[in-house]
Amino acid sequence: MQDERDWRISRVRHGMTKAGIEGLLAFAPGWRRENVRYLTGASLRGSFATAYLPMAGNPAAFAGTVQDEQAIRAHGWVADVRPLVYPDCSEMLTRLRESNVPGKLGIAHLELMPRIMLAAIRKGLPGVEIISATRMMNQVRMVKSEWELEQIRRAGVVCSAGWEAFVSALKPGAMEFEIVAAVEAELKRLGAQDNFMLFASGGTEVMGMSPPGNRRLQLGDMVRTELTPQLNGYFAQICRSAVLGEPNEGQVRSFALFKEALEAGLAVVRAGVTANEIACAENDVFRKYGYGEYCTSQYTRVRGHGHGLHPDEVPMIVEGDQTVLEENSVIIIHPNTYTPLAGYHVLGDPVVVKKDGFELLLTTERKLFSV
Amino acid sequence: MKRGLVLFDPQEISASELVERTTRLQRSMQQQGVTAAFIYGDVYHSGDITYLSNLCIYWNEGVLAVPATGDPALLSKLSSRVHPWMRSISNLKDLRSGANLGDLASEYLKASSPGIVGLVEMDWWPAYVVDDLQAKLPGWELRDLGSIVQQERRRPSESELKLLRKSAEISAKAVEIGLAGTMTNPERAGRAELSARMAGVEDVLVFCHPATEHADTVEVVAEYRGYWTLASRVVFKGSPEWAPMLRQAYGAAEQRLRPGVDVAQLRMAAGAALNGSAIPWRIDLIHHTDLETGGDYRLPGEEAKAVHAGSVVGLRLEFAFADGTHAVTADTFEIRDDGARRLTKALPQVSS
Repeated sequence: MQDERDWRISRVRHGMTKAGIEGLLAFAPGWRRENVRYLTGASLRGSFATAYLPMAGNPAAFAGTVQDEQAIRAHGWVADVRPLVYPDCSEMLTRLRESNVPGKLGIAHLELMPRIMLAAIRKGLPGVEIISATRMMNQVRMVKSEWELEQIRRAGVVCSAGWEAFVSALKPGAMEFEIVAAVEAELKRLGAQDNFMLFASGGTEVMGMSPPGNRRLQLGDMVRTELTPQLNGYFAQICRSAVLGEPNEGQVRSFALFKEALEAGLAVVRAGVTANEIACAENDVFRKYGYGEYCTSQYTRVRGHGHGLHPDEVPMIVEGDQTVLEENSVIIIHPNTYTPLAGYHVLGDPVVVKKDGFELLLTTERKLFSV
Repeated sequence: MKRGLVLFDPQEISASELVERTTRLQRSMQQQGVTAAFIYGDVYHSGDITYLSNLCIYWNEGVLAVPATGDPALLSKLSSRVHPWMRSISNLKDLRSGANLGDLASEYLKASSPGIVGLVEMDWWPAYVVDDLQAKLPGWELRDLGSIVQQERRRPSESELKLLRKSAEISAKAVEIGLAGTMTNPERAGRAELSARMAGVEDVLVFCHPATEHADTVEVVAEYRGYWTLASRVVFKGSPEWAPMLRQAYGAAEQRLRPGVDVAQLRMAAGAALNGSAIPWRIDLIHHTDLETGGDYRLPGEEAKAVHAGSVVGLRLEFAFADGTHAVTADTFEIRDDGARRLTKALPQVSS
């Protein structure tokens, strides 16, 4: 695991050099812990933590709870672990001063850092130029190590199991939230730490997904989900739809459209292509059949995205995004959107980008499930 | 992450009670000469927004804008495609989406003459957003309103107490199910999660982990209709020497809990029972309003304040062992004039 740590530090420092940053402070609020986890390897529970990496010398970490301090130490990647205490954040600032104070400090998730913390940093490090390093860290994390890929492969296996639990729970009369409960229980039983999941049921009136409600499923409903379990820190996502009973003609045609679009997107995936090229390949299928208007932001967000230590990472697969995919980045291709054929439809598979193509992370069949 | 049942049920919290919450805030704003109050929330920390609107920020960030008179509006980074769902689960009609909260705020206030914008718990706002507001609202004063909404939330109404009691029942039941039988910790987590989610929670955090090699901890923090409660017990696989110490220390703190007591007094009570034990330990007293963040968002100094009658709090005692594992015992209590009533009463008393 020390090799893994060294590989990451090397990537981060390369990114710092390119960005002209002399010190990197990764900030982790409760819902965006990915950068601190990347640097410490530790699973955290508290609402605030940071990790500091100078251009030379050892990293340090700062946690708001004793439990998180212990978790970081136990992982063994960062030996210098100190408390993070508001309002003065004195231990963190002392450590930053101990190593040469950087002239330019990059903060990952600066955009989310509470005013109380940033005020302490500005006051404690006068003259230091502070810039956002969020984009830099997004780029650094985009390419995964073999160890990281192994965790995501495990998450992919749990994705498939989660979908099986989803299908098993579908029955007329069941309420939406009960389906989610069954899936969550299975994911946790399999060792998932967390899961991001959206849901929708019904017919052509469904325009998008949200958390579940208490609507009871009916025969003829199409039930859609994206579920995204987290294993050992890493997320993988699956998007599928199922019909209660025999699918109607619109649902069958809709599935054929989405399958063709997904496979068109997959067909162009390889290292060196841009997010734009993949999105265009997917959207061209919709345009070919006269559904191009449903690829706009009025109906959909993205045609896929990256994932890793966060469920929704760069690159965003959208037309116009010129991010070049590198080998061993991980993305999901999902042409999810609304059409009048069957309402909102979801279908997506996560893949590892390879030199000449991709590695599929799911074993789940690519079909319109019928229960 | 919030992926449980989100409902707006006027049988539980009436529409008029929801409006009255905003009205109370507006009265205070008017007294302070505040034109609009902004409340920031994200998927991790948005209890004040839920309290005023029943809205669930299930992902990303948002700001609830409350004018001195009139209806609140939501300024959100969530897509406008989810507005129909948001309307179905809240009392909000004015929903605005965009990539930049500063731009949305500027647009929201463009018809008003510059005055005072109050930021609730300004210290916890992202500095980036505050700086952006300052740049995009020239002539406006940004004023910290402190924990003005939290202070109201800490005096739950009778209808809120009903929901808190229900939430506590769910938390306790989930722990009880997680404790039962011989299971691995992932199996305990799966069963506890299923129990809580089938009972209709909006969110639940389940922590099942070893507490030395002789025990496991099952801790559940659940949100039911926006109301968070806490429960935790340790299941022993042997008779570690620290087991009676945990029981006695927790029992001593629980017995001490009543109006006017603060965490320092509970620490003294537990410490006396521990009698100089070498095991590092921590006791905490967390208002139900702070349970969603484990108490981490309390403003400096708040942790030390005494509890008052009518409040609902979580009591949590944690042992931290040298091997990096933890044992946690916790319950949720309603503080009453005559003492503290344990709302997680489905669980056996720790000290028994």
